[in-house]
Amino acid sequence: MIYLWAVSSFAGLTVALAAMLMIAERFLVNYGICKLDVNAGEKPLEVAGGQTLLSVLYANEIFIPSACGGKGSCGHCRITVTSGGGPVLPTETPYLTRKEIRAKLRLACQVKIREDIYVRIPAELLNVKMFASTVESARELTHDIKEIRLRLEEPAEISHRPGQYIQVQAPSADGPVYRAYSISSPVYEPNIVELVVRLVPGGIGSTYLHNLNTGDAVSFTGPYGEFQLNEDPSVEIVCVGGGCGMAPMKNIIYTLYDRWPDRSCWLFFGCRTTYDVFYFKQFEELARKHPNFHMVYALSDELGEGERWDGERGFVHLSVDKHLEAGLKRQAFLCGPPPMIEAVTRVLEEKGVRPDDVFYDEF
Amino acid sequence: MGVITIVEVLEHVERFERMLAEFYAKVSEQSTREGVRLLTDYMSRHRWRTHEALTKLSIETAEQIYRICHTPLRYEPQGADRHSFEGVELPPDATAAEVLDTAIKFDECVIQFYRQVLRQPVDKEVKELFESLIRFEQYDVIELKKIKAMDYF
Repeated sequence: MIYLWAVSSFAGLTVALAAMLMIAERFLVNYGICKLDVNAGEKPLEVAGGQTLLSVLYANEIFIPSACGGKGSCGHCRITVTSGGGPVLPTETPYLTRKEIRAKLRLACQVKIREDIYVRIPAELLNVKMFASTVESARELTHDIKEIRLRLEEPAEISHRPGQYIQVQAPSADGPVYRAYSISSPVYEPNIVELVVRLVPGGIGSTYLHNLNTGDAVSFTGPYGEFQLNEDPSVEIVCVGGGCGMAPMKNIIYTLYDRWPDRSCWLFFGCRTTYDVFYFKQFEELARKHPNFHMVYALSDELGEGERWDGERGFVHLSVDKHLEAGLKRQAFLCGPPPMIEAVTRVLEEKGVRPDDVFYDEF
Repeated sequence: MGVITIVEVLEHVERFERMLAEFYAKVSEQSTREGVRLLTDYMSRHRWRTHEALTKLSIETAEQIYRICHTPLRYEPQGADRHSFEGVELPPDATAAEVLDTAIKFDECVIQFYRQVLRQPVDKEVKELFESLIRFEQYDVIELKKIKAMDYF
């Protein structure tokens, strides 16, 4: 009995002390107004101290990537803090290498502003915006993949490059979280953002998006991503997708043929059964209009009863190996599970594609 | 007096990672499914890389933070060893989903093993190291779940 009393007294005392500390920090510790300098005077801000760097940046419409809502569990919100960030915290070290720590990289969600702080943010991220949109349409492409078209409300247009992605704000029990999805609509549709989403059982983002109806409001930030389409029309483009890794390919291919109708481009898409095939007719139609567009869909499973398929069989990297001649100047974009990316990259290297010309989105 | 040091704990997991790499290589060799062969070949190489990273970590740790490395633990963590393979059977016709479910269980074995270190009174640096290792394995579990959801293999 005495033991129980001692334990509960100690626990109570600990909770009370923690609460007192939080209250004291909230009301008594006043860091005042601190200077937040972005990119050496490019965007000087004055902010109330005591907040996290990530929340201050979001409040000032600087949307750096963050998938976990500032909980320090995704490691995406990396920025360079040149001065005023305090010591690197244990919660940051799992996400940063020693070299990155030496280069003053920090997780913005873990850095608390307590004094004047100086940060460097890539110029492209300063152009990322928060968008309000509504669902224009949501249709099933397969039993577990949906195409969701968002019409932009505010701002009404987005300027992006093919292969870039957005971060959709999805509600969760712990508050809003952000999940990354590639933009599948081409760049010449600036008031639309289209997504191709596979339902992941238990997944916060995909469950939210799959339950949306026409007219529902959706918020997102973007665009993000470093992919740059090679501007030289003599460079052949190779797109390889697996599973539901189609969204960035669709964007790249339609954007490409809008600008260079005669450019050479291959689309390889791998999935298991005929029930997983989507956008096939749409790309067939495109191939009829543009003779230099070649499409290869490959199925890896044996055909089931009632299934008909005249196309390629086997895994998609084998199709890439079969169809591409070695030695041409190429740029490749891959999207799919890591073992597929690895297998395709190996084939492309054998064909003479330089590693710097291979870009990928791993799931 | 402690019965095991941090370096010995790291070496224990290194050995388990090598067992996993060999296990996946064997599954890859015996599988009748092309997708499973592709997947387990990747998983085997991934576990070898983890094994090598841990080897490097224990060497670096030994060089740089000798004290941490030789910190004795009060209790020897249990699990993440050959007994973890008992009852695990992946026949040649096992599907990719079955392989991935098994892989997730092995990752969870490693996480449980690391957690046993954190349940003991250890230095801040040791705690940080093992928290980092747990996050690494948790990230791996997420990756495996995503690959399963992709339903490609």
